[in-house]
Amino acid sequence: MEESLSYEVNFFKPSTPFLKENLRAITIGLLIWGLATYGFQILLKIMETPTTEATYVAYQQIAPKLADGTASDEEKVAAANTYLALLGKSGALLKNDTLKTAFTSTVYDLLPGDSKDALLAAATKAASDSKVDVEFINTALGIGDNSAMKAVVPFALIEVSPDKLAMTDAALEPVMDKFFIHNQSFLTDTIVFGFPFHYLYTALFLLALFVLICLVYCYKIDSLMKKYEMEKSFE
Amino acid sequence: MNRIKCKALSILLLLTAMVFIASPAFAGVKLEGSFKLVPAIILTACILLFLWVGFMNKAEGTSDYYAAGRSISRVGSGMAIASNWMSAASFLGMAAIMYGSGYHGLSYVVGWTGGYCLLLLLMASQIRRFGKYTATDFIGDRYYSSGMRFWTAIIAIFISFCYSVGQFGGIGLMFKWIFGMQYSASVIVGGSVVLAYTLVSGMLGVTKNQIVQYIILISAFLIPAFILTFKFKYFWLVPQLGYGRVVSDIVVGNATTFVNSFGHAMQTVPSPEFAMPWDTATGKDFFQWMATCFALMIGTAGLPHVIQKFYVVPKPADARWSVTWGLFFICLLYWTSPLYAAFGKILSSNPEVGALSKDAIVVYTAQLGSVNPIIVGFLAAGAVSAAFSTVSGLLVAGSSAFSNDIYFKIINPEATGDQQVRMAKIATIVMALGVMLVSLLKLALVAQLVALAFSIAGCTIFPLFLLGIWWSGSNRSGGIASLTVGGFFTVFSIFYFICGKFGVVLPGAAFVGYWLNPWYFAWIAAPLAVIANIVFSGMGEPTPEHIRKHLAEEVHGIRR
Repeated sequence: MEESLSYEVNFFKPSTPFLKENLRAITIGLLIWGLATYGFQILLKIMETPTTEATYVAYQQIAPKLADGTASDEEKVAAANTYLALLGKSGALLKNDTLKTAFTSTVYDLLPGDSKDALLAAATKAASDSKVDVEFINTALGIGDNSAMKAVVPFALIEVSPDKLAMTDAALEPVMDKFFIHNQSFLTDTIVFGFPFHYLYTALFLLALFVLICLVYCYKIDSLMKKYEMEKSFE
Repeated sequence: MNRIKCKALSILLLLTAMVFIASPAFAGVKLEGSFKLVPAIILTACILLFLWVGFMNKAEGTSDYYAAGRSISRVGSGMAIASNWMSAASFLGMAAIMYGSGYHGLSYVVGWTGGYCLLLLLMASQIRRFGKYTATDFIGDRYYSSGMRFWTAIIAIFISFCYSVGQFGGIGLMFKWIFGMQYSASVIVGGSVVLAYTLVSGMLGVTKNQIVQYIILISAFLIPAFILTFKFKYFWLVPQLGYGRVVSDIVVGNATTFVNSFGHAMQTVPSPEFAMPWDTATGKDFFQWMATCFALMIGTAGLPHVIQKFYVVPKPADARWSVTWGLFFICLLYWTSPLYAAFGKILSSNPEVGALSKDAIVVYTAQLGSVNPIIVGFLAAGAVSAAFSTVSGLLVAGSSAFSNDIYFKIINPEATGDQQVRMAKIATIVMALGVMLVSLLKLALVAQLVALAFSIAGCTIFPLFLLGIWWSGSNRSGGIASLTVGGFFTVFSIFYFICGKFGVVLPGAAFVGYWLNPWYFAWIAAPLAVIANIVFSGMGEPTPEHIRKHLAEEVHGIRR
């Protein structure tokens, strides 16, 4: 009674039965809200393992061989494909000349003699015009059916001089680490309704949960108001 | 209301007919760079429609502002809340962030919706019961300090300002797209139109107008989503679920049998960075996700123009239900927004498309998906309307904070009603010009600029409301301390940001840029403001009894 005499209001010390029940509802609502939102992201963070894309895993074996010139033709094809997959990821990467040089050099190296000049010509032309015939490159790289990869080829070419080929470069490693390693776990790899699960959870489910929390709280408070007959006097 | 519906419908039909007559002019244009007749007609029509509905509503008698609120159902005021809320940031900005930064963008989606839970659970009905009319009034009265009232008014104006800068950016981009002008020119033209619109519509009925706006906005946003999912054979009945396979297709790099409007195959190279959490490729990490999400949530619960909505509902119960409905209507848009990012990603993957302006990706996506130009025009017009309704609300809120809380209450208490109105108009014009100037600088993405407004609200106004409502011991000393802490962080973070933008490297710039970034510095500033409030309240004189009594009896229903 002492507290209500002095008109004390304190979230942690509710002084009337109505406030007690109201605050319990609020606390439960906030707990669910906080756990569902931040708890899940923390879980996602705890469960994650850095997962490397398959093409980069293979590339890491090949890179030293590219450097010392012992890579086989298949390995060169694999490396070129890795470069291409990287270049296709973002427009910013298409401005990375080291990467483009590595791609063009590798392709130049693995093409048969008579196609080498065609590649150099194509690279010169591609600098100003993306409508360049690169079908022979697509065939050599085995990407005839992959339209996403094919689309990148004209943009991946850069002028190289045959006596200064650089099929790999130490500067590429941080770029590849940045773009090829992803935080994955069973939460991201499970597919639900076509979505990666964590994406579905955050983009759709969380929002629905927020609406639900609000809905339940509204009903709860309306019934509390009835119970304590506060509708007339208070609302 | 029926009369309005009838007339609105007939106008819409007429406009549709006009649009179909004009539509051949639109066929086969590039993504941007030319004047687009159909979107221009639709946009003009939407603005005229809003003005007209507002005018009709005024004729029905908004002389009493609250009467308009009373005659509207909870569902209706939920729509009004949603329309008031949905701005260029929701309409264009969120998809832009997801398009560019993948999963990080979802922190905006979650932050801008989850904040409503805080608002409802902790504040909505209590604010209504406290019985003041603006956030500034609440703080001025609760902390019994005209100094606090003054500074809160300044902060409220500043928040409106930052928020508007983002909106003007969006308006500029859409005017650029529709009229084929340069960005700077379109910001100036768009800004002038919105200023004229505000000066005219400021006097018109607001709430019913917002219901019409909501329906137009949400239709403009949802229709292309149905079309895209239907066209590309995804599950189109619920596009919000149907685009899930698009996300997986992007992650894995699956081939599809479809092409975009340029004839490029609809396929990406495997791109897990689009969906995987805090991917290094996006340059955003776990901490930034959490901090952004939290700052946006508390900002939502502290934005003056959002809080103000609860003063105009008849009863506290209505405040609660309209928040819930409002959240649902907002979610309809937010559930759909990632769809545009995903389709945008997969349709623009061919390097030949080139770099697209991220903030216009929603519209580009519809174009790349070969959606009918009329629908695309409607979508662009929807984006402009979203920005218009928000900006005019913000300009009105900012200018009335100036004319009422600063000019009338502090500078010239003897001002007549006419003088106040004149001051409000001058303030509106000054603010609009200032906003225009700053948006020409193109400091950041639309959603980021708006996020700044949320961070400011989250660390200044939210802590004052939270403790002001839930702890009678919080007094003037605590309030001043809390506002000082929040204000300090705001100024500090913005100062570093601006210096960085103009190439001045301050000591510790990297540290501040990461931990106290302008988009999310409230993550730490708000808790510190709360602590400051508690500590300094303990040192100051206790809260006067009449305020404790009001708080206990009126706000929390503690009766003896």
